[in-house]
Amino acid sequence: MDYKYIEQLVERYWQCQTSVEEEAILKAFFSQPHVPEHLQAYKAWFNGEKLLQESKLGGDFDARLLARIENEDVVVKARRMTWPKRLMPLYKAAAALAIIFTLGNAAQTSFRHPAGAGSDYNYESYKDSYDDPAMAYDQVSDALQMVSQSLSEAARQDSLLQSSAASDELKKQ
Amino acid sequence: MEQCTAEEEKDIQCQTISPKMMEKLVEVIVSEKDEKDEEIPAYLFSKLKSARIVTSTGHGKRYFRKAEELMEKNKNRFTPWREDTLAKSDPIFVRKHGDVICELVMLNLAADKKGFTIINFTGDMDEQFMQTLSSGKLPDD
Repeated sequence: MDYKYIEQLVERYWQCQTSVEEEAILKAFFSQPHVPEHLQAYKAWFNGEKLLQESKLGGDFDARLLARIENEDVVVKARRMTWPKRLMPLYKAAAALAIIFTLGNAAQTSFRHPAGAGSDYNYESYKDSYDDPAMAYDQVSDALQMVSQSLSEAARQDSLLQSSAASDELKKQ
Repeated sequence: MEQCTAEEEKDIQCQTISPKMMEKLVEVIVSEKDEKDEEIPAYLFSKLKSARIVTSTGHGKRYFRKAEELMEKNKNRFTPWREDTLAKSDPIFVRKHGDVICELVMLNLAADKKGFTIINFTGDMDEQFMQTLSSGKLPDD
């Protein structure tokens, strides 16, 4: 028997070129009991739908399933909640708020007090040399005068240098 | 850092004026302002937070050199107030936060090369503060 037509149909089926009628022919062919050896591989594919339609749940399926569910022992464990455990969410919320406030305060403090010399020196460790503000005043005054003299002397020398450079320039001209 | 011997330490004195004393000092100046002629402008004191004056009566040249080395080592922190002041006998170094000087250090070697002084001010020393000092109009003792 020549199965060339069926083979062509199968080939076209895999290329999605068959019509509904041609697919019906293929299904009819593969549903017959005798299918040649070299086409046996496709039998399950074309008969699959039919097999699925034929396979049905048994009449006692529902009864068996229900019986199985009823037989399962459902264990409900009662857990004893102590007060600390009940209040645990409250503790967690309080801890979270405390962390937020602490960080907020730290950030505010660092923004309010910009880093100055104080951030580098521990003024608490400063031990005053004088108990009398008048003596401290004299000491700071002397220091200020020394700095002032040095600065004004430097400024004076600068102006002398500048005027000397200017006169040299004039001489050259 | 090179350590001072016990004998050398005797030569060195450190006078400290803490921020608390500086506050008291300013209060006294303000309260007595009308009673006596103003010597140093109160404004200058109000800009200071603390002061430290280190003086040495011996080994001045060595201390001065050492102090300069330390300043060089900390040049990222302290910069010369003006480059030209480096050439003078009393170098002045400052540490700034923005436009404000938060620390001022002056090194002074006495003419006899024995005495040495470090003046260290902290505070909020602005341009006006430095101009007042540079004006040379502060009364002498």
